[in-house]
Amino acid sequence: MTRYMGHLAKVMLSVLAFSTPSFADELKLGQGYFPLTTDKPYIHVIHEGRSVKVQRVQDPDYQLRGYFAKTVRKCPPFCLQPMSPAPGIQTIGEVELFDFLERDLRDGSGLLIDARTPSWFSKGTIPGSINIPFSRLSKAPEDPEMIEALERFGAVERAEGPGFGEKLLRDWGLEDDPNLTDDWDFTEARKLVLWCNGPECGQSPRAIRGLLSAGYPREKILYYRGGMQMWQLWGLTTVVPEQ
Amino acid sequence: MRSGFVYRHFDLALPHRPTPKYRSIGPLLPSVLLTFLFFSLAGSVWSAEGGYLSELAAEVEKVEEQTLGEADAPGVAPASADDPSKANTDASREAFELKLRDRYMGSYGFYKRLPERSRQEVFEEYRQGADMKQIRKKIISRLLNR
Repeated sequence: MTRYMGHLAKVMLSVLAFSTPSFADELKLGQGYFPLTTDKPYIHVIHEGRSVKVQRVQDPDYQLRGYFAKTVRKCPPFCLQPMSPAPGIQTIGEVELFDFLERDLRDGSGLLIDARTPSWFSKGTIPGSINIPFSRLSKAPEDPEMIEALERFGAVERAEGPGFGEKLLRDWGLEDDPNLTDDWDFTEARKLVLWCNGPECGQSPRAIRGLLSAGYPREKILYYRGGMQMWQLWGLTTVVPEQ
Repeated sequence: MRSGFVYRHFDLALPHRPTPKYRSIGPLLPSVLLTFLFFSLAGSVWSAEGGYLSELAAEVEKVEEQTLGEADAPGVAPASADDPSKANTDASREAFELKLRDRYMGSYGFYKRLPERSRQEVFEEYRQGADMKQIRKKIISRLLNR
C-alpha cells in the first residue's frame, strides 16, 4: 500500500511539474494564485511565433533584484520623464496594456514597440514587442528609415499630395482630418504603444516625438511610461529574444 | 585719359585703400559666418545624440539578462535555453537559485523543500553542465526519495 502511494505521489508530482499549462493552471487558479487583474488571471501573447503566457510571479516572497530594482540613475541623461511626452499623447498603465495585448495586438490593429536600442532589447523585453529603436523613429520625416517604419505601421504615402479643395478646406479650418497630412495617409495606420526602460528613460519619448514630427496621428500613439522597470516590479513575464 | 589723370592725382590724397584680396572677402563674410554657425549647431546636435547613445551603451552593460515567468508553448524551449554542452563552472549557487526561481517557480518551490545536502547535489550537477530540464527532474527525484 505504501509503495502504491509512493508511486501515485511520483505520478502526481510529475504531472504537477511538467504538465500542460491548462492542467497546472487549474491547480494554481485557486487559493493563493496572484492574477493580473480581478477578471484576468493571465493572458497569452504571441512573441516571435510562439505563445507566451504573461502572468505575475507567483512567489509572494519574490523580490526584484538587479538593474531594474535601482532607485536612482545618473541624471542627465536618465532623468524622470513627464507623465506625457507630448501634448495629446495618452499615457497608459499595465491594465490598459493587458487589454491592448489581448485586443489590438491580437487582431493586428496594434503594435507594441520596444523603442530601446538593440543592446537593451536583447537583455529581455515585454512579450509581443518588436524592436524599433528610438534612433530610427526620431529621424527626419523624409529619411528612408523613417519612411520604411511608417509604411510598416500601415501608413500610405500620398503620391499626389492634397488636392486644391482639401488644402483650401484645411486652411479655412473646415476640415481637420488627423489621419491626413500632405505626404501621408494614416487612415489605416496601426495604434502604437511605445515603451522603454521606465520613468527615467527618454528613448520612447524621443521616438514618440519623432513620430509626431512625421505627422503620425497622436490619437494612435500610446505611451507606456512604466516600461521595463515597472513591468518587472510587478513580477510580469519577460522574454529574451532569439539571438 | 583725363579722368585717369585726375584719379591718379586724387589717389595720392586718400588714405590707404584695402588691397583687392581683402575687398573680395568682405561681402562674403556674413555667408562664411552663417555657414560656420550652422555647422557648429548641427555638430552640437549630432554630438548630443551621439553622447546619449554612448551613455545608453555604457548603461546597458550593467543589466543582466533576465526572464521572468515561463514560456508556455509545449515543446518550445525559452529563447535563452541553456546549452547543455557548456558547463556552468563559474556559476554561483545564488545565481543558480535566482535563475531557477525566475524561470521555474514550481521547481523552485520543490527545491526549497529539499535538505541542504540535496540542494548542494543539485547545484553541483548544474555546475557540471546539466540543463534545466535535467535539474528539474533531479529535484523531483530527490524530493520523492528523501
